[in-house]
Amino acid sequence: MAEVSILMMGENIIVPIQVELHDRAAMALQEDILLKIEETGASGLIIDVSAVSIVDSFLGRLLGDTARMARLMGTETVLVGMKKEVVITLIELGMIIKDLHTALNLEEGLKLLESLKIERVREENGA
Amino acid sequence: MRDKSIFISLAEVMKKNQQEILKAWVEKIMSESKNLISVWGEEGIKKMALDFLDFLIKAMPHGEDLKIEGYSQFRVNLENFANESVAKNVTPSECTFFIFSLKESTIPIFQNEYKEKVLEAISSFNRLIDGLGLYIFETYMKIKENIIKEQQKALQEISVPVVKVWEKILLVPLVGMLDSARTQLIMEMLLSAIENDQAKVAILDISGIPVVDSLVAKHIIRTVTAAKLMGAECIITGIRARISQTMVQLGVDLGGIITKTTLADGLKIALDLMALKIVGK
Repeated sequence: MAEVSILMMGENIIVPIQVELHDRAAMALQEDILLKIEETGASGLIIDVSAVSIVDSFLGRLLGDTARMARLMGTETVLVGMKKEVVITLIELGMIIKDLHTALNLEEGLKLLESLKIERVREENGA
Repeated sequence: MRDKSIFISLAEVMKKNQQEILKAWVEKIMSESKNLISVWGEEGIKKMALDFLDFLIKAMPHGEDLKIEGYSQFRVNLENFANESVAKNVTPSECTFFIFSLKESTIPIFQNEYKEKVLEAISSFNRLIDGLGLYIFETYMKIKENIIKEQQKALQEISVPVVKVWEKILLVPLVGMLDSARTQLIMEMLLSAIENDQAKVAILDISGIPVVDSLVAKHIIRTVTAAKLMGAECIITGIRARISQTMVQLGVDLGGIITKTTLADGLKIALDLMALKIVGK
């Protein structure tokens, strides 16, 4: 399998999806990502979908689920680089992915993760 | 299907008396419609009438159904006529007058030829000419409708300006009624702009929208959600007292979206989000 590489960069995991994902491959990817989180205890996860031009309701839900699962494991997820066609399709499908951070590109995604981390630290200290 | 024989015989009679009919017809047009003459000129009218009569005599033996193959050339001729009329601002009634005046011009000739059967001849001929008149009228309307459609499209495109007010800050001033088609357009334009400029904040100013009902609110929320999915923050400004009242009364939930009364406040928030500040000199 291993169509999609899962990269570790500092404290974050970066997943650049460069191929159109089919259902089976997407499910495999979800599992791989979660295993990687378990293995490394990463604090952030960035999924880069800038090369993906088709996101159906299944993939949309799966991405949302992955983010929620990662959150349970203590990892914040940012989805970056969604194309406008993809966005319009998701909106048309009525898929509004909650609990999921989005950013324009990888750079903004990393910045967002950084600020989320600071926020969380502050919350933990406050509590 | 009515009998074609009457039309075959009518065509023969008209061919025999073509010059006379043409003369009477052109005279009739000249005496009754100054506008047609001022638009096309005497020569122009004569030429058109001549062509028209030629085509008609050729097509007539095929019967009175304008949709059949025999009339295809004639139809093109009629459409050209309608096209020119629209371009030259000739009214539809003048357009159809051109055709209808042929009726009267042929009566004396039919009377001569058909004697006691003249009634049948004239009524058949009239049916055909009426059909032609209607065809011209319909074509005329179609052309006009197309013009209106094109104008609508042009108007729609300029109705959604996406303005870059600052580095990575976009402003969309919404004016007029929002319907599904327009919102779709707005959404697409906004998303393309976000993609192109890599914008981080988009301000939707709705102060130009007269009525915000639940449908409009739904459209706005959709646009905001889309922008968020792209990774841009959305701010809605221009929510006046009236609008906020109706929104609450309608139970519209804009929770999670930053809203402000004035565009200035919205811009301030946008600059805040970008960690920018305006400083006096």
